[in-house]
Amino acid sequence: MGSLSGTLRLPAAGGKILAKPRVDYKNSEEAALVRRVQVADQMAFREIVERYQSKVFSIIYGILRNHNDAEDIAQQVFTKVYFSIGSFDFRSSLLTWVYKITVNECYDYLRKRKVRRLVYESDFSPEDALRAEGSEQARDQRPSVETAVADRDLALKLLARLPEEERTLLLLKEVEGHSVEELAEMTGINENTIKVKLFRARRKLVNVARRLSRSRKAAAG
Amino acid sequence: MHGLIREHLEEALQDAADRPASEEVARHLSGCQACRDEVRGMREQNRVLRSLRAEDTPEAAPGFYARVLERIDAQGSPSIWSAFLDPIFDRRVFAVSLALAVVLGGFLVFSEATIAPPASAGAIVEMQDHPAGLGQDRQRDRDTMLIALATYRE
Repeated sequence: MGSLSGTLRLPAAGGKILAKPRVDYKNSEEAALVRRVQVADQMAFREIVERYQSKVFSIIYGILRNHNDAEDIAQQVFTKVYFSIGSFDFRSSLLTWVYKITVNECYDYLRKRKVRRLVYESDFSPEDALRAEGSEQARDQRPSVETAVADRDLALKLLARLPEEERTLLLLKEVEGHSVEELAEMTGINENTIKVKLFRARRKLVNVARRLSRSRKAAAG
Repeated sequence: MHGLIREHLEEALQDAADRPASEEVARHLSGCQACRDEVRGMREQNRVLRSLRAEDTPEAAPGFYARVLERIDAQGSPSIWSAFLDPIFDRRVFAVSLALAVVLGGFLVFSEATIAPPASAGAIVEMQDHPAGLGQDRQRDRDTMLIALATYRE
């Protein structure tokens, strides 16, 4: 894919302007809270923990489906928030920043525990390949609970192939259900750029799925 | 994938029941096999990704904040060695070392200049032969006395 303008048509002059004015996170109520934490205000940090703990648990549980580990990882997420908040630059919303830390912690956890081995082609089972290809056969083969587990496993494996930013954007879009407009507000990135990044991420996933499908067919015969 | 679909991809990926794609997009998709296949593949990836949505989210157990603080304390208590990794500490150590080196160097240079060099053996013998200078230079007197004592024979 080429440049931004080569990929997506930019709004014509005088036409409908797609990009909304950027949210000024530096002067928001949230920014005031962050600044208080940056000067070691414990009450402000407590407020951040209480405000985002449900969201953090939800993200972790969505990825890992494990109550015990969710608590441990959530603690680690807020510990990281505490130690890194000095470098928070207000370019995105605090939620987006916390979301990114949480997803990264989940992937770190999976790596450390070797629940998910390093993902190479060989890590995908033939059923994963069918599933990635979107085969009805794969979906109908298992009962629904097993299908959900297999889908989750495949989703984690596919997302592991993406750079951190694209992974976070896709998760925010498809798992959290945010619109492109909301993503632009949350990340401080222009809407057209968000669309380009999403397109690249989606295309990568489709290509991985196609490769899997081809290698499966080659192995079969 | 054609430009039209790229531009309206997010719209095209919406489920038809949710929000139907525009007529233009729908027309293109119905006539373009390549775009249709790619969009179908992306829709399938969306379905897989949405499996990560958590239906029932566990709540944090009581005392979660206290446990976070405990972890912060545990990870934040600095070890002796971690002080050496702190760049500010390193800069201070360097500055103090430099100042100490300057002070010691200066002291040595100035003290070298004020202390008279030890007299040579010839000069001391000369002094013994001509003790007229005794009492004028205490250092020289001391050296003379030491030589006299060391070379004394009954």
